[in-house]
Amino acid sequence: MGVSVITRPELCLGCKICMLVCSWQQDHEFQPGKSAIKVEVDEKNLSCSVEVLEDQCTGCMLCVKNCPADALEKSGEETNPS
Amino acid sequence: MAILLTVDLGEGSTRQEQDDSLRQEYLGGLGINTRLLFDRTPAEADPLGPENVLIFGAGSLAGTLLPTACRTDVCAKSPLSGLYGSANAGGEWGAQLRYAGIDHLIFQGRAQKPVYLVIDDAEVRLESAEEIWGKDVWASTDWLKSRHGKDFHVAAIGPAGENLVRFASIQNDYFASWGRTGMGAVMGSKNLKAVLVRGSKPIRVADKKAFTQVRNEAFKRVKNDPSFGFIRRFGSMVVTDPFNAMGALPGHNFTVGYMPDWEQTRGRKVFETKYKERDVACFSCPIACVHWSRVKEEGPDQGYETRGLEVTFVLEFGAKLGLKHVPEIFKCVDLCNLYGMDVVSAAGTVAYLIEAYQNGAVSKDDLGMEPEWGDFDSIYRLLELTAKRQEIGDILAEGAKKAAQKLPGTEQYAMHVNGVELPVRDPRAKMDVWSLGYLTNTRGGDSLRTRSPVEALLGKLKDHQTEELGVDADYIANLDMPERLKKEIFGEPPAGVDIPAMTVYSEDLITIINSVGFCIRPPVLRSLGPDFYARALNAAYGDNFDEDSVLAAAQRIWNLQHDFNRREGESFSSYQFPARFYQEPLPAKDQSHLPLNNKQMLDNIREYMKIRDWEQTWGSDLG
Repeated sequence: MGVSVITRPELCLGCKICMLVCSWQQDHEFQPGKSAIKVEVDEKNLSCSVEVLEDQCTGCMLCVKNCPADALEKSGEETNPS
Repeated sequence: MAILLTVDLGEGSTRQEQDDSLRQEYLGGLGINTRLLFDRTPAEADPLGPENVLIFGAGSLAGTLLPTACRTDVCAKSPLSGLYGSANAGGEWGAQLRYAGIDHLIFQGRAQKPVYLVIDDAEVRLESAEEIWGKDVWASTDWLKSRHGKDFHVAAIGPAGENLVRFASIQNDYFASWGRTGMGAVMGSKNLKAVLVRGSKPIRVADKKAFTQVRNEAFKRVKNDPSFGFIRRFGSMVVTDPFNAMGALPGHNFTVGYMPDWEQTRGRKVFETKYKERDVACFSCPIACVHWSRVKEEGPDQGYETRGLEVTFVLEFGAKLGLKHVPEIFKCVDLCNLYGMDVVSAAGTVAYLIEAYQNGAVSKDDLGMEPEWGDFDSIYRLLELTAKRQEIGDILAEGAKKAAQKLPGTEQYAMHVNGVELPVRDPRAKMDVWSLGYLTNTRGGDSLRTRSPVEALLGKLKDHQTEELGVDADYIANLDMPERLKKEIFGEPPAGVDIPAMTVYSEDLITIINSVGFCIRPPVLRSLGPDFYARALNAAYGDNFDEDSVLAAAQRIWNLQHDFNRREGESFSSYQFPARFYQEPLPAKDQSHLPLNNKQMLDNIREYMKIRDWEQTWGSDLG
């Protein structure tokens, strides 16, 4: 499956709601470390990096739908896990 | 179930306990912290001695996907007030503590040499902090993250905490603060430099379907609150212009409430256009009330970057101390971030000194300088001397109340309640729920534990016990508040806001919020109430709360804080402002605000105490 989420780190708030939604979607539990989207916040200058882990992402788009900042966007077709 | 980890710093040992009943009675976070503080610190303990405990308590819902559910309370006997001390901060620290499987972290005793604690999932260890003792917060945090991993979150003190400045803060990943009541000094007295935390355990909920419903409902209500857009846009700076319009600035140590050039130099539009760069959020928060700022205008400060601008910064350094240039305010705040000092108490203590000097109670020879309102050089120098406990700073580091005891003839300039310097808004402008809360707050003169969920800043008072309603009847009908309380507070049909009754309710609401780990920003405060929090706890833990039992728990927690204070010597006379507020008018825009009416104040205090059912405690004082 291809990467189906475009990221705009310059708009990212650093809230990590996408990470929490992703971990919930997988296993109905909260652990950002299990997320297929990885937000890292440089706490010293409050800048963010956002990376979608292609091999883990199922293309469910919940991160996109729940981002409060339009920092994520669906790209192309949604892919389904095989 | 709550997991408590106790660290004995004297022995260098740890002990983990599981408690199955505390959350039922005390909800979590601040609530359980209060119980632990009361039980584990003996009466009359020296706040800077080994008998005081220092407790970090993550909110019981922190780390779950609920809006703003990330916050942590830190609690100890305060070295500033000698009473209940508590400070609250967001970021990711508290969520990571819970992902490491810990809800409450209790430090007791005192390490013989400087140490820091690493919580790396199940592995907990103390390490030597001698290499970073004496370093500022940023250098220390850089060192710790470089050594252990940048994915750790760091609670650290700076030199102010090490020097036992009585209002030292604990800093939270560089910029956020557990600010008020001197928790950083308690940490410094224990030779504890920092606590690092990261965790990889998942948090699971008892009822997944109910939790999903609660979560969706919460995000919808928070995002749909009319204040949401304003708070994203301006952050807390949203109130800075109304405060000036009200004539409520704490200008020049509470001697002037209105400044004619305020909006043009320190207002919210100035912040938005000249400094604001980016919106920033805490963990799990959709609001993003924080901002990253950069000085854009040409000049010596061009390019200066920092987190901000919060309204507290601009009111404390910009109004109380009179600094007109936002870059100068940024630098004073960053000094507090680097050294680890509470912005409000630091500004309040320096303002006390400047006014004492201007009135001849302290001389130029005493100070080695001639401080003035709005003079950056002398203000910055006084803040620095305070953090370092050098020269006059050694007295200022005691806080305004104790400093005034050491400098004869200066007591009338110390603006505090119970030793805690008064913040951001002058009560003479409007003696409403906010202002009454300065007196009733169990942690002393502070505005953050008593905030009405229907607050209408520019509304008027109908009489000394009633605010104008400010919202319509439909709003009241939809408000998440028990119906019986709506009748008591607003009347039936809703006609006004009973000030003593709303003060009690808002304190209880914020107690719930600080116990479950949410934020008090308006989109949350105004849209989520006891019924929601009861259902959220039930979905998360399988509890059986309802709106009444969750409020009852909040009252239990507040009463216990009050019992702690009474045990430490609180008296009825604690519930009053400094003399200035009863004797002097406050100049505002077109006319001055009258001094407070002491009889009316006492009416409101007595009514508040009757609603709290404290008649047995205070007896004849209630009249």
